[in-house]
Amino acid sequence: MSVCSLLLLRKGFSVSAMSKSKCDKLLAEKFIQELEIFLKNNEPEKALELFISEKYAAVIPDSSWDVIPLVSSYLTMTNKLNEQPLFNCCIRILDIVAEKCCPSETVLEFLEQVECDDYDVKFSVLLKPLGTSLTRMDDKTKAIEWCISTIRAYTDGLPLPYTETENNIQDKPHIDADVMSRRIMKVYRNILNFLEPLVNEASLEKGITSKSRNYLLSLLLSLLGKPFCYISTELVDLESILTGGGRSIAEMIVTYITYLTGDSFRFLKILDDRCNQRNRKLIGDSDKHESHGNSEVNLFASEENVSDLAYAQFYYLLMELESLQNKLPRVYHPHYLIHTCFYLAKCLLQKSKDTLIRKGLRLIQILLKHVDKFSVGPDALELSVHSELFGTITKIMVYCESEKERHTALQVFEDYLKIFNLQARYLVILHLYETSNHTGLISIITNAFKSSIVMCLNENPHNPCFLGKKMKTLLSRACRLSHGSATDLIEISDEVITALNLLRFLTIRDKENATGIWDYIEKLQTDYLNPLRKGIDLAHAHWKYKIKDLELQKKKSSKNLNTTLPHNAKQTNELDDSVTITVGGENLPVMPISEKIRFCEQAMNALDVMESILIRVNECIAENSSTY
Amino acid sequence: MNVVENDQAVIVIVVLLFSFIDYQAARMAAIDISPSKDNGVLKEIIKGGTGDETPAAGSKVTVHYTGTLLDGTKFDSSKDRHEPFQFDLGKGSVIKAWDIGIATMKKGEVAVLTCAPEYAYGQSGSPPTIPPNATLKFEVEMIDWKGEDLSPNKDGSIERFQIIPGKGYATPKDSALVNIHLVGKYNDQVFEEREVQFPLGEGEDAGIIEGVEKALESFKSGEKSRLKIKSKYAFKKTGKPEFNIPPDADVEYIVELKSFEKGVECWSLEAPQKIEQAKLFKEKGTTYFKANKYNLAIKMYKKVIEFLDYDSNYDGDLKTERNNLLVSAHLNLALCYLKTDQNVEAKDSCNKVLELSPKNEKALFRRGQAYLALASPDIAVKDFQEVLKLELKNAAAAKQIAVCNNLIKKQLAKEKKLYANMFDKFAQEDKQKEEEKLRQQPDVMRGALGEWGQEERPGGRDATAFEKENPNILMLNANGTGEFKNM
Repeated sequence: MSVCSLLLLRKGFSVSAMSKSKCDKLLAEKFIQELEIFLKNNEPEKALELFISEKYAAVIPDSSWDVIPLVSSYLTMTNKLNEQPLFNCCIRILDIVAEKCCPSETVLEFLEQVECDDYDVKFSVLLKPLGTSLTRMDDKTKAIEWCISTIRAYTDGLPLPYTETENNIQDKPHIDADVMSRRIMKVYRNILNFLEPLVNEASLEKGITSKSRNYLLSLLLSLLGKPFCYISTELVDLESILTGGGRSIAEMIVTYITYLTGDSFRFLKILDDRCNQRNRKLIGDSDKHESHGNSEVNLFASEENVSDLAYAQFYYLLMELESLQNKLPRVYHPHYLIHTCFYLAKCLLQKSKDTLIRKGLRLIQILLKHVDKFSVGPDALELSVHSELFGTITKIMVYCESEKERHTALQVFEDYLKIFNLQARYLVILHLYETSNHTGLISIITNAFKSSIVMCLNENPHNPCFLGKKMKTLLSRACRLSHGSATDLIEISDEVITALNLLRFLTIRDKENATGIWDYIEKLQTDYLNPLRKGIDLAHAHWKYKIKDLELQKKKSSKNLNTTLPHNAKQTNELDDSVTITVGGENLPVMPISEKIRFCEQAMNALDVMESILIRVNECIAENSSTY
Repeated sequence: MNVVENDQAVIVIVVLLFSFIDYQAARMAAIDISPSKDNGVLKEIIKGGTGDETPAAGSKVTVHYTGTLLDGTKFDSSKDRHEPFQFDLGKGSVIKAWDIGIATMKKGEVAVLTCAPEYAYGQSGSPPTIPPNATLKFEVEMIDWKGEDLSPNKDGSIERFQIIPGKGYATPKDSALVNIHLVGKYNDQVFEEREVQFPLGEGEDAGIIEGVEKALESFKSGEKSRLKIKSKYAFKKTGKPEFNIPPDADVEYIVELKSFEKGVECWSLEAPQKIEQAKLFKEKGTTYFKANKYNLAIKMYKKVIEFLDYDSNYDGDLKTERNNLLVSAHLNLALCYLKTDQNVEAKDSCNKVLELSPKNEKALFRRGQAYLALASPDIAVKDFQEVLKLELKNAAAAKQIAVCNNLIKKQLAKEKKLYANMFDKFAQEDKQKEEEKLRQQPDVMRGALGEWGQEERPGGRDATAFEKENPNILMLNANGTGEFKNM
């Protein structure tokens, strides 16, 4: 808005300036008319000549407000492709205008042209003369502000390489995303080239206080958000190789930021406020709200200016890029770093987009390297960030489509657990049992539970965190059959096997009843082991019968295939489906009989494993129970 | 080979020795300032500062520093980055040694802090520049500090000076119930002092000024602080005549956050804290109830139950306290449900109470009311009678029994009238309807597309008389072959 109103003022001013001499006015009109004709008739040499010859030298400095819109209108994709000389001539003219005309006018006029652009052609071309005009200005603070808001608006308007809704991602071919990504990166390159001199001028190294510093910082941070953060790291690296092997766009942005602030971690305070929802709006401010619109607080704290995603990408890059490691302050407490950055990691992981998930997991991995094992106590769990992050990580472990990410998530999950001391670990594991319902996940939790018991027993004297009553609480969750002996054991085979392993471990290792397992064994037998025994027998019978059925069917169908005509093939297919396999209330997908038989055999196998451990557990109990 | 190895060993020993001597030297000149006196933070003053004041916890401190390892390698310096370093003191945002060491420095002072790994980056170090288990040396110059500014625009309009630091990490979130003690001062005159409880964000109702509310967002449990608040976040242009506060007056408060509701993180709490949280929710519920906001009250009571049901590991006194709380939460919940005409839920809540305390009069009474509302006065009356048994003089119960009996009588009379001759009538009507239906149905036996066709009948037999009458039923062995086919 302010750009436009100022522009109007300027226009009025230059018109009146021109009217002071009628002669000049006539000359100027003639100049513009000629320029218009030459451009229209596609005569670039003649058009350029107008600016080079001495004839109009007097009127050129005052002509910018006519020339710039006129010439800019020729900066189109069609001209770039088909009328190369004309297009180049226009670029040249704009350069001359930027050099000769009053910079405070040209800056505004260039910016106005940028604003109404539909292809990046105009935008890329105009940035250069815009830069030229800026360097000629004495006090450029205000002008930089305008440039920044224009650039911000422009990048905000760029389309994302992927549509944001999950479902559409797969429908779109990858090439489309690549094309979009390349376009975004091209625009970003141009912006960075434009910003480079401004950043250098405002950098801390220059030693002066610069008013533009915070504006530039805020812009650079926001550039890391949408749409750039959606571009995969590989593509960003590839781009830097293709454009001459220098630093990648991402690295450049972050490096520029480190030129402008000594403490790259200073924004963590804002994130701390964001994740703890300290964002109360006060009535006391309402009257002055407008004037604070561009205050330092607003430049960094407002989500409109710098989104969570932008901060997330920034801290990911900051921690990941080797070249920046010596620029980071080494006085921050690692716990402070994780509590704030984990909030960002959570934002990345929640986006269900592989690129972002990868960055999020990597960010956690790097941060965990800075934190000592057993160093985080239970009071830190007051922060919601931990439960939220565990929730998102486990979701990725179970449901993420990419196998690699699932594995990384599992690794991260295990490392994450390690930073908690045993007291906190107990609360985390209890919480995980309460919130998880995936059998594989429960099995992983039970494993963590087991290793925690080992740690408690290894301490001298024993650490009570996972022993006695607390162990009992967790055991009741690890050893759980939701429908008694009628529970579908194949569905939950993972957790059953781990739970049995845990019991076997406890009964063998803990002969002295240090864990208190023997006080609890009777209840375990009635609630878990006995129903399990019964359940295994039932399931055994069930699956055996299934195999028999399937084999019978196989014989039949092979007979059918041999004897009947091809048009009966359909019938045999139908027969295939007549014996269905159900696990956890869901039918398995249609598959050939042999596959079905194989599945049943696997199920039998799992039952055998359960049975053998169960027998062993019962043996161990029998051996020792006389003592207790 | 051996000689070379030996040489290397000697070098290693010498290096170790030197670094040890170095460390010892530092210890000699420096004073141990760690609270537990374990030589974790040693401070050596290079240049004294001015005045006696040192920064209070929460202050925004500005310093220049250079950090080196014991072998002299510089790993970080604010000077190389051309900007002094700023941080909030005593918040755990910097390594422990800094929070301890910098709090002892005066303005202009330059000191060297030697920090043991336990007070710095520990076993992990800070890759790649700080190795594991590294003792760090920081030369720090204290440039200046400011009081902590909690105002949204950082214009110094809400300043905090901590008196007692809080515990833990959590801070109250929006609409969390906070329990505070506050003393308000204007021109050093106390104008109010009270204990107050309110949901954060609704402080206006409790006469709490905005500035205090904003500040409370950053309070930790148990924290006590002095707040200096400018008029725009206090009593503004109107002032407060009953407190003798003129317009545009800046005020001061001493606020202690005694407890607050901690959001959903109930899993991170130990049993006593859970009870504390449950109590807060109960009170919140009661406030809503009194204000006739029953749905909100229901939400709060459900929270109480959620907190207490989560883990049943309670012992002794805690157990009785928990059960009492549960009983009253369920009772109140039942009352709210009655008020909002959710009678089935009300009944269930009463049942929960009776599980815990089988002779609870209120629960029986409210269950009776619920049954009454559910048009089951015959069941309701039993509950009211039970109440009377427990408390002979309960007039309300007696009254309700009368109401029930009256209703039962009325109902009986009504039923009598209603059911007289009804069965005969209905039977006739039903028969007519059925016959009609049968007539309308297509004769499935004729077409091949019927329910059960000729060809599907086992053995290809004709339909039996029974099957003709009941087209939906297929007799399996009607032809007497005795063969049973699995369907």
